Amino acid sequence: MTILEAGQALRSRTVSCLELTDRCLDHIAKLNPRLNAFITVTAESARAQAQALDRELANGQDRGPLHGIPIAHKDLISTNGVRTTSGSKLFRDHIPTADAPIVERLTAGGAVMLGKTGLHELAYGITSDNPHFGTIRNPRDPARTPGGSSGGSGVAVATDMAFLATGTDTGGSIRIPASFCGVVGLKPTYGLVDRSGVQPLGLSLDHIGPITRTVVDAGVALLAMLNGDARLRPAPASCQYIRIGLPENFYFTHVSSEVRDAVQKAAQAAERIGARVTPVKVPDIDALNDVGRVILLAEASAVYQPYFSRREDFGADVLALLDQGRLVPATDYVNAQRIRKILVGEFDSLFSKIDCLLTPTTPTTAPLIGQKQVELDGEMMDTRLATTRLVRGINVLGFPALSMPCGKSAQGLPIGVQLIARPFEEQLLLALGEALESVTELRP
Amino acid sequence: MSNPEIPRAQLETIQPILDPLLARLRAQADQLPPQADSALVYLLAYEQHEGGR
Repeated sequence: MTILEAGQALRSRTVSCLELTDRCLDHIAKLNPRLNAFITVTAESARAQAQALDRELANGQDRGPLHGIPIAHKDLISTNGVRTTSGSKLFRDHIPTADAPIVERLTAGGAVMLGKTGLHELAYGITSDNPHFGTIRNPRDPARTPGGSSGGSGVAVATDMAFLATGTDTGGSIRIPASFCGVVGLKPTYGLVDRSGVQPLGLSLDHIGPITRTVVDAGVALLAMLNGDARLRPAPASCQYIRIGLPENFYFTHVSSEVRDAVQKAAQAAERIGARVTPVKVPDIDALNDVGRVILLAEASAVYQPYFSRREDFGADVLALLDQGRLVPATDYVNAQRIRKILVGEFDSLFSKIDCLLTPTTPTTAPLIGQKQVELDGEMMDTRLATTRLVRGINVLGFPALSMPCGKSAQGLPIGVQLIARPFEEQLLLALGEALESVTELRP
Repeated sequence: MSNPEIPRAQLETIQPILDPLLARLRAQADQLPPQADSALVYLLAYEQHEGGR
């Protein structure tokens, strides 16, 4: 069931907020011991909240499309009185005294909070294999990673534990789990969703967004998350007006053949629904990724400098990244930000000819837990760098990007397609994504 | 703020990862025009003025 369907059922009184919440809590009780999607489940307060929302509906008070919808928050988003660990030993016992604005907004919109989802330690990684809170597992194959860092959010939505889960994305952390778990993830334009009250990682790269089962639901969630004064560009009147660029360089090299074929089929489907698909040459993504890595290394280490003496409290992979960040000279950081501006200009020029780019989200389906390398085009590549190579650069640009399912591999693992647009063109991404979602062959 | 030394064993592990990255970045930086501005200025303006916000 989707948010849209649940909303219809609630308003036709065929289901109550409490029943929806109890269904999700049942799924959590049944699946979480195996998949480890949640760090904290707030069953009692969720049921109380749902009962109050049922009373409101009975009295004719309707808060909108999220009224009575059970959701989860990534466990680095502050929740008043509910432990918020950031997946870290540093914050194992941290209990915020206020909700983050994004939590306030979703709660005011009538969402029921089920609990807090697990993540890669400090959101600094893409496996969600967490040394402090355990390994999160992919529901399609528990031997595989769900991706990260918002791994728990991806799993919760994919398994009906929640209708919506919040995520954060600094180098792909919403889109990667969406791709690996077969759900929809939207990284909005930089700054569109308020980041205050959310544990930072890369100060100029962090984005907050929704993970949902459908593109329509992602649109509903985004509107509920937006800053009050945010203004999105309107959606195109029809997909026939959307000019899609299909990259002829970078995005389809070092990609598995199954992913390449599935994404090409998505491009063909886009043509069939009326969009104009043209091959384009994209600017230097390797350079963009290098810039993104240098900026993230420096910014993350700046954030965690107060904790450097507590080396034993970090997992080995995160500590290695934080130590690398300490070795980045300020001159390199500043020059990375200067190169970044030039690359943004190059992408602005590209987007004067197209409305959207269509690419794979990840070059492979979900790797095995603990898999250090993946083979692509006969070359062994580091799993983290391979998995982030198609998504990281978009954080550097600050452009919005949507990942949605576009089929599955022979092993039954989901494949994701990424749609990228200019800043504040989320409505265009959602309109195109919704049209693609109606194409049966693309469903996971 | 604490800034303890990075242990030698860790340095030996991370420098072969970091050094090529910084070398590539510096090669890009060599091509920068002298007046090239920082994206941080851009981002600041972006959040405050663009998108009708």
